[in-house]
Amino acid sequence: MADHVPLLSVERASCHFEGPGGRFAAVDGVSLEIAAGEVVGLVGESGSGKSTLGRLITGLNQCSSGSIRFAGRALPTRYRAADFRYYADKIQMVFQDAYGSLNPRSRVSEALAEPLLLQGLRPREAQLRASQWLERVGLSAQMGARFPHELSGGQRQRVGVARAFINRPQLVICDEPVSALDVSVQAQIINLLRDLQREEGVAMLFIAHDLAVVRYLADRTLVMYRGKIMESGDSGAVFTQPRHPYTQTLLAANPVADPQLERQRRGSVPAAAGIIAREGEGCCFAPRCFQAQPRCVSEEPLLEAQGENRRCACHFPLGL
Amino acid sequence: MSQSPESPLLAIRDLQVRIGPVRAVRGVSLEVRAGECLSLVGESGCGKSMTAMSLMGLLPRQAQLSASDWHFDTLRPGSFSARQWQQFRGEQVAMIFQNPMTALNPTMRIGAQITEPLRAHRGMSRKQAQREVERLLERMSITNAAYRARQYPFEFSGGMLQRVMIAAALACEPRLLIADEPTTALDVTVQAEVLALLDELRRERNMALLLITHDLGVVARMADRVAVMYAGEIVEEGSAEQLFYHTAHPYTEALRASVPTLSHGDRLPAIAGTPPDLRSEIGGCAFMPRCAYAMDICRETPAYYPLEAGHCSRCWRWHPDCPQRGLGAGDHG
Amino acid sequence: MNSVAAERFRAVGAERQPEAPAEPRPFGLLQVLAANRRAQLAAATVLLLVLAALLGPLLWQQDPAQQWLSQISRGPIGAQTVRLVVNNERWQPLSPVSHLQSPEANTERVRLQWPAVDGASRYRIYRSDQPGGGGLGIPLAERSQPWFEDRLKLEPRSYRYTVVSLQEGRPLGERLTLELEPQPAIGWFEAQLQGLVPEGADPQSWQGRQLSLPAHPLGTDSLGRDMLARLLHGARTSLFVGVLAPLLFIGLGTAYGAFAGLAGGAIDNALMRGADFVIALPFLLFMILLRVAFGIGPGESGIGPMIVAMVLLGWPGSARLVRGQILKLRGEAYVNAARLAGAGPIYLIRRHLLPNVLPVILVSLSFAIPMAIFTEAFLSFIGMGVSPPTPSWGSMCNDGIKSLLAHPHELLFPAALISVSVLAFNMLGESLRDAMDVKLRTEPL
Repeated sequence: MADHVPLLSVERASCHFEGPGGRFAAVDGVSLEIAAGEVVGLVGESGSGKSTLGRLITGLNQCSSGSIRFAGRALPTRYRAADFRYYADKIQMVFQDAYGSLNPRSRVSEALAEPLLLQGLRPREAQLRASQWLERVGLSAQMGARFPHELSGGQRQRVGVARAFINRPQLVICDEPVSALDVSVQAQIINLLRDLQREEGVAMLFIAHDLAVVRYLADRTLVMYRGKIMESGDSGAVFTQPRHPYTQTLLAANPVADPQLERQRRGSVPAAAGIIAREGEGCCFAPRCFQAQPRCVSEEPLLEAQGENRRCACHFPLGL
Repeated sequence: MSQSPESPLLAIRDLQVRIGPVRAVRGVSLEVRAGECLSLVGESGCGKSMTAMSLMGLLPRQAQLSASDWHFDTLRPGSFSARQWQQFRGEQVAMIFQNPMTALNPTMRIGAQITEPLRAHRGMSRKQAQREVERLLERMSITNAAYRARQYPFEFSGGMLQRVMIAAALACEPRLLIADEPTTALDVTVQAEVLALLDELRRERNMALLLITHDLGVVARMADRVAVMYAGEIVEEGSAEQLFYHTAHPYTEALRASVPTLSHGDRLPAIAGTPPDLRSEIGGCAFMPRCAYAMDICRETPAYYPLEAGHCSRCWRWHPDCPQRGLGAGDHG
Repeated sequence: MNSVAAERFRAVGAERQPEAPAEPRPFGLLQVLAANRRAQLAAATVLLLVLAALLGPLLWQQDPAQQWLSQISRGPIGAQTVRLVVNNERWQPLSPVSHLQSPEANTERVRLQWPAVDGASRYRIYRSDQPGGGGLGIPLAERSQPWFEDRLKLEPRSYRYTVVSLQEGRPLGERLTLELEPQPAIGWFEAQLQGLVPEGADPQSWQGRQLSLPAHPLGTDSLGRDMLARLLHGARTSLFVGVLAPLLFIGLGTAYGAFAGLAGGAIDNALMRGADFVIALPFLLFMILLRVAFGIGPGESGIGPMIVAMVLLGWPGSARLVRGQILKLRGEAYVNAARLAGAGPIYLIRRHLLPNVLPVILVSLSFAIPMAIFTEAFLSFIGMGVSPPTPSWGSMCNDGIKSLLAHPHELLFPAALISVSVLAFNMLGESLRDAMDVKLRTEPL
């Protein structure tokens, strides 16, 4: 990966918001790379900054420091309409709230044709492409005449997916695209995303709080906590042999659809070591960490390489 | 352990709920024993929340309900007056909801919201109730309870609020707790804590727990018995082991298969199609249009019959009359 | 197990059909409006009101300022012919009569004559409005001659006159009564005022002639002015102020709020502080200043400054509303999706923001119209709006409320028109909003 330019590289990007308790960093010096055609999962709990990171890459939020390069070219720090137009067929996004991502007053076909028309396609061609894509995501072409409220949650998210892919972008950010859906529908959308990703060969940043969903789709997984990346590596390795205690905690907390396994695991969730940390010093996970030690409070661990393709921000990584 | 010989705490037979043209619940029968966790599983719109609301007497005004053999211990909720319902809720049954932020009054202090049922149902004085609230909050692992009780809901995190909700629900020591998607809005680590707390409380108080969820992982962690709902009826019911290891109904099977797991597979077997429209009459098996094993007989309404002790299913596939018995994907016996 | 049963258990896989999607029912905005009875009714009412304001005064050509002194505060009356009565001479009967009688009875004068009573020094004349009733009514006069001419606010209705002779030592002497109904008449002076008789005509030769008077289908007000003419002319003022001012200030507010919401950040902040400043300005003071600036003296009508003042001070409300809505919409995922697709600001406004802000604007417009009509009425009442005799519905209400108990029609007619127009605009706005809401067009899934 070192000798050629990655599709996307984020370097020490931070994003600060003004909150009730003053300025806080939603994303705090995150670096990551995504190669062309690669699916990267981004896991974290609510408030970990994973959605903000996705929005930084699409330009919906601005970095307060750091830089993001797409295909070697630095993304503008502040997007103008022209920048969005330039990147419209390069970076796209699938939103969590499928209903909110469709204008309630626009028909499905209008929503799908919109990105094409904005790219300068003729209306007739755009309509044709829109109905082709409707069928490609498993909806009938007649669905185009409907309004969003006339679709089910799964159908809406199919439309959302089609709209993100219709301009054939090189990178699609999926911001929790299935977490608001029912189990069976969730599986349909995951399959759809997986098929489209393979057929189109796009790179994908898949953001989710559900570990299993990420495990299913992503080649590589990043675990985020409080705006920082805690651990990264191949999905298989991260989920079977977590290095970071936070990943371990997440995995232990994640319920598995197997009663016997659950019964064995009962009570195996490690309790926090109960170390008192000062805000902004040391490891941000230390107060919740089951193996925290005095060093964790005084010194902030850096995201360091631990073997091939593996990075972990912990002084005392597991399994070593 | 689920098959205790004593009679069930709550029993209801053939519960039907109709809201305007929608037949939301179409003949649900349930039994919950003291100290047992029954999980009601299903996707949105399958009628599981409506069932819970019926059991609480909290159906919307325009809903029509019918049921037979409705018992709660010695009580008969079917013939309750509004006043009796009010007494029943809180003293006998309590409920916690998916979103604790909307279930609590944002302008009232946390303590006051828990004190209310204590004073109304248990006739405590203000002082007594306050002490009781602190005791309850401490039991919910909320530290510094006296101080926290004077705070407002917005000062609590989601997980903490759900603990407050549980504390308020348990204030009057109900014998049945209905939890409607209690952890869906929470992060996994917080979910684990809240689930562990619920489990602990259930064992400690020998309280029955009716856990409504769509997450099979949560079911596996919590439930003694599971009832799977589809299109307003229970399609399969049994112990957690029976449900997960001897799945009888194709819907349960498909639901289980469509949950992504940490062990990597190539393709998720999703269920094609959408659930039926509950406004129209459903002839035959409701799941038939989406079922991988559909047969001609499925056009006829399948009977709800026991496969083995405590394990019932509503499917022709394992029906005694079926000639292809044992030829399918799973096996019984 | 027989073969029939086995047949029943045959797999059907191939026959299973995917659920057929129901055909959508697309409806245009106008089609939806046309299908809505209430919308039709409201639109027809609004159209009727506008037509009444535009064409009414041309069709009903009475001067709204003309005062019919003979017909003050009258209920609806049709066209009629009345006697012209020249009443500038003193009346003295020529011959005595044997009983109480009335040689002449019309609404200009009622003449009474009765036989002289022996020993009576004076006579007192009473008039009662209730012919069948008991009492004598109000005393009109006390005189020594046996005749009397009543000119006191006569109307064409039944009266009972009682003449009581007053004698020494007897408080109430002999009584004579007469019931009569005066004929409609018009006096010489008023006939000249209304131009019913040519200038310089000889009064004596016109005496007793029949003159035809126009109808007052809705009656007259306390100054005898035709209500219908006043209502039609008032519609021009009221609807002009009531519709134009809200349209202008909501338009201005929408543009301002949308700009602030779209610009965001420091610009938004500064603009909204500006709006707060305008809210703090006192309306009346501003109104007075504007009238002075427009060079309008006291007692003159000033619709211009009124509209300008309402527009200049009325917009911050809708600006805030629209800004809030825009800020909310800007965070919506579909707006972000459109931005990611390369949509420019104008496209966003036209395609995504405006259609979703419009319902809010319509609702505030339907509230602003009645408010403007009442503001106009209030301003006219305190002498800041239109001044008499220019009619407006609001000022007519103000006039009518003084005689509400005696002559309710003077208040009821303008008030009813205000209510009807407010209701019509409200319903029209509501129907438009509903028609634009696609969720109401088709049944949800």
